[in-house]
Amino acid sequence: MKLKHTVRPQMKSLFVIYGLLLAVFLIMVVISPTYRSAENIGNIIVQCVPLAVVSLGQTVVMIGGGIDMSVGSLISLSTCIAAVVMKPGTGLSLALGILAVFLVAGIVGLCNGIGANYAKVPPLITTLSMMILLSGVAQGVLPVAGGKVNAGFAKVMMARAGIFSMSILILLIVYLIIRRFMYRTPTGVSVYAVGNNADIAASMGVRTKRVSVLTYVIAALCAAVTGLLLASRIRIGDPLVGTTFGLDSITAAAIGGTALTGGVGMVAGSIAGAFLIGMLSNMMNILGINHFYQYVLKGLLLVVAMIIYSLSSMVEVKKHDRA
Amino acid sequence: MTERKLAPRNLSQSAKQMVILLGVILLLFAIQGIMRPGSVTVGQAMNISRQASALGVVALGQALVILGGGIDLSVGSMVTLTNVFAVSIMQGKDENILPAVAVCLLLGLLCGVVNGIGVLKLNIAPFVMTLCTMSILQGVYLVYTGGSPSGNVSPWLKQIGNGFLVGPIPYSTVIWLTLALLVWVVLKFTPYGRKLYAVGSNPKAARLCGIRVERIKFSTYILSSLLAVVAGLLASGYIGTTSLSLGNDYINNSLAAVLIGGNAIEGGKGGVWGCVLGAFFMMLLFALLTMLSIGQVGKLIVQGLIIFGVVAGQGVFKKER
Amino acid sequence: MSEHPYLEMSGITKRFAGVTALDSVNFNCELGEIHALVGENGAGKSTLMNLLGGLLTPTEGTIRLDGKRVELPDPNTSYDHGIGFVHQESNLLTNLTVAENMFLSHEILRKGVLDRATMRQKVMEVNERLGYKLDPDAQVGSLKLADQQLTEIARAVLSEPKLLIMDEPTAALSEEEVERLFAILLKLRDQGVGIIYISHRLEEVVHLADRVTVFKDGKNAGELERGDISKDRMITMMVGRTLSDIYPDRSAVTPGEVLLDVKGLRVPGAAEDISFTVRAGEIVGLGGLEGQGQRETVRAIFGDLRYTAGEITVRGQSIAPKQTIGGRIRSGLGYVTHDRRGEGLILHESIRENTSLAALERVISKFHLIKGDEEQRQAQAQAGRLKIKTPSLEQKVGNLSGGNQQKVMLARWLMAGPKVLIVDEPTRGIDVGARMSVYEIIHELTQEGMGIVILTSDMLELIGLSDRILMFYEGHLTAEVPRAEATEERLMQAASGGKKEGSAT
Repeated sequence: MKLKHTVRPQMKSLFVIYGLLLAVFLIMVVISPTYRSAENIGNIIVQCVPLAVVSLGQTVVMIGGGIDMSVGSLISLSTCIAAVVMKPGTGLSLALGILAVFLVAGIVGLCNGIGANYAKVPPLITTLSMMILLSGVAQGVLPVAGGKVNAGFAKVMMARAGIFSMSILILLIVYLIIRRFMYRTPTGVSVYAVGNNADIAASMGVRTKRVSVLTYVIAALCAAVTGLLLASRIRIGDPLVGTTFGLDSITAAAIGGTALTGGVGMVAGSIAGAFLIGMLSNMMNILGINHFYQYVLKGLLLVVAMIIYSLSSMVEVKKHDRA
Repeated sequence: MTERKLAPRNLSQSAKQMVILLGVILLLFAIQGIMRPGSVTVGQAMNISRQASALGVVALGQALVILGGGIDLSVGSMVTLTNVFAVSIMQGKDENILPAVAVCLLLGLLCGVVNGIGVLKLNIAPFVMTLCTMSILQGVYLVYTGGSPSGNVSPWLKQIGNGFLVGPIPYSTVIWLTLALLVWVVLKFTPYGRKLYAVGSNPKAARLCGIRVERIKFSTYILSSLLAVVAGLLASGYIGTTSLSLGNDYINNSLAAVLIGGNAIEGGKGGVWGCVLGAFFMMLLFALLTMLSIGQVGKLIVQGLIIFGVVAGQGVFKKER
Repeated sequence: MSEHPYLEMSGITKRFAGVTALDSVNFNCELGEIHALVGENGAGKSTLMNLLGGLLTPTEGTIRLDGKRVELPDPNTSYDHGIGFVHQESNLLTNLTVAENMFLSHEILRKGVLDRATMRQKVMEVNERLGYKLDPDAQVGSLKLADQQLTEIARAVLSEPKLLIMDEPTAALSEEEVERLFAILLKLRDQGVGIIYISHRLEEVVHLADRVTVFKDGKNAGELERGDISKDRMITMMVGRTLSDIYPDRSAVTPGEVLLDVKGLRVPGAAEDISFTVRAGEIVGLGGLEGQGQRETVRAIFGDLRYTAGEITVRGQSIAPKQTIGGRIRSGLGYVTHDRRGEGLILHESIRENTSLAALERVISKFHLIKGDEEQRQAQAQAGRLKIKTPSLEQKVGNLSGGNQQKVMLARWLMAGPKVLIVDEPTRGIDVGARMSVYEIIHELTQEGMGIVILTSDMLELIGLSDRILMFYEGHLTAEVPRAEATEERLMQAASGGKKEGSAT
């Protein structure tokens, strides 16, 4: 793959974040024999992929200058819908289940986008309201965890061979689609434009509102994929399973170098961010540390990443000053 | 582009929103009166204010941070952390109250300082920085309790959280409204308040007027954390025990209360009484939905719709840009 | 000339929430002519062009292209009608590359995806055509102001427009770059492009224009044909009076003691070895092309930017480099920003609150509470002195006209009581009436012993108001010109580094 044509100045942050990921991974590999087993590495990947997928969508929204708090609830809702619709176990119910999940996600994304762009409610509030509302809907669909995900479907989704798995394939596909969208299509460039300055972008002929709405739809569709992955893993629907994914996906994107102010970020960085977060709990287990420390570490990880970025941008400014 | 408006002077935006909110609250009471005749009493209103006081105090802090152009996601974790530490130090005895309160206030101060440093010295976006501290605080109380907290609130604090000062007036409501009054005086009548509004509205302009923008913003994070500690103590007194989920809803609800009360998320706009009404409104709404035996599902849906609806409604009142 | 002109705008009226920015204006432009549009700030030139560019829609009136009536609801429609637009302020996306900016919303695709190679090649072609050296892959935010301006010009040229609008394209360009631009414009004109050229630099207009339309107070104040174009006529039409009536008579000024003394100031990346003094009762003008370090210099003096060398003394009292803005205000400095809406006023707050913002310490009681009546009294005094037109001090400043907003800015600083007041672009975006009263106030202040520093991009204002003019070029002071010697030629020469003889005329 030729990356040459898609180089952005933020490329540097990619090296930082992937360097960090590699360092953590190598340290773990050196310390722990259990860790370096193909079994464990395969496990980690399967554990990390759901967050990585939804983080990709979150990144697109954030680059476009928005934020989506509702993806967590949407993931929960997706598992519930999938489990309820697929319960009969027939092929038709499977198809209907998948269709329903994506349909609902599309509508949710559209509503978020319209709320944030046309109703002029700040994205944070729009998606926060949506998050609360959807958690209600999810509990309406399934008051407690239950239902049943189509066994064959779950088996395919969770298929694994050593470190290779369906999960990583899905992540790869989603990543390639989004990468192509962001870097190879005019709309992708528009997303960066809108995130940088919507007024100027509009004066240059970009349909800013439509672009922004589209980012929310993409985020919601990514959340739906994550929902299906999680549903396949737990084999049931759970109205609370996605709760942490909202803030975690924002964290992953931020660690990956996407700025909350919009216009800056690389989708690939968020995958590394998601893997770093996802690896924490596995690391705690392997190292025999109280796994509650993962919250502290997650916070620290984010702080450290932010400090690195703010330091490097200061260096950048100084260089610019001298020039 | 030159856009000048010569609108007639009328009620300020936030005053208008407060009137609307007050109307909505009265409407809720009216609905309650119709659905459950005789249930609208002073006692019941006071009871709701008692439930709302912890949220109300958190919302005061959140309002300060938002006024300054930031946001504080760590308040919920701070409430739980306060609960966990206060209860474990108190061990149900009144003589341990002082050290418990002191430790919690220190923790609050620390959290506020960390937030302030992150946002203002390290230039981390407020949302991200307070998300960090939220996660770290979460880790701290989980590690501290090992996931199963224990202990009891001392009788005195229980009395503060549950009891009544005179007649139907609960202690916690008095504390809440006293703090609100204090914050109001500071915002309205001191240079600090004036500067905070300027900093939130237009930090560059504030800076060029000689205002120490960073200091003012820094102080809001400290105040927010300290107020979250106070709220944590009130909430602990109210529930009388310890709970790891105590603070869960405070981020969303405090943001909702502040924004429903007419404060703008971009900062620089809003006031204290709006957010007092906002907190009361949220609790009244919950109480009403419970009273009408609407389940959790309905509550969440209504809550989501109302937060969005109110903020969207406020947008409609703002004229074109 | 053909039957009807290519572009014909007739009876155009544009109102913003009750304020009329354009009042039944007629304007036209032929293909193959350079039609200059001049007028004071706020006269409606930019508004008219924004209508043409699809950024605004007219309240009344019609636009015809080639005799056919058109609606221009958005920038893309204008683009499709062959209208190119170079904006006054840098109107680019700083996070995108030069090529991305130049092709934004008109990208070249191949098999459904961006054809970056072709776009890059097209940028190089435009480079060659215009004599530029723009790197298609450079991030626009990292470019110098002048290169950003060139990028915008290149974007407009790239679209092969039939009509090209240039709204003050030369503000950030050096003399050499201006000359190259002129050559390009003349070539485009000869190729049959109609060019609408807005400029404050009347010399440029005389040099370039085939026809001039003058705007005044939102109305078309008249037209001059090639042979009749002269600076004096344009000014008279623009302002409605002659220059000597506009600016206060400062011949009787005798400067007093030194109030501000700047020695060897160095602002990293912006200004080097700047030394000057300001005396009581004196107006010192800082001039130069945009972005030559004059703004950074005053901002460093005011404490808004860091400086690494140099000494600043206010009334004999040395100011430590680490001194805060607040401390400098207490020492007697004041700064009225050029960007009043962006970094001056709190638009949704009242005149009173805006006025007292820099002087809150002057109206507090011993309990540190603001004394409401005292604040009201002092703010009222300043508002009265500056004749701010408003029913009440509680009026939100966002609702005021540009002129009154500028007066609120001045009121704020008068209330803080500085000894040296720096005024950055004293009259940007305000009408001629307010302009004269701002000049009058500045004049009065000097009579009371204040020292004034003005920064302005308006050459006439610089000459008309200053007792002494300091010219900046690439971060250095290139000339100090006393009032008697200040001519446009002399200043332009200094503004371009003084390397060239003569000026653009």
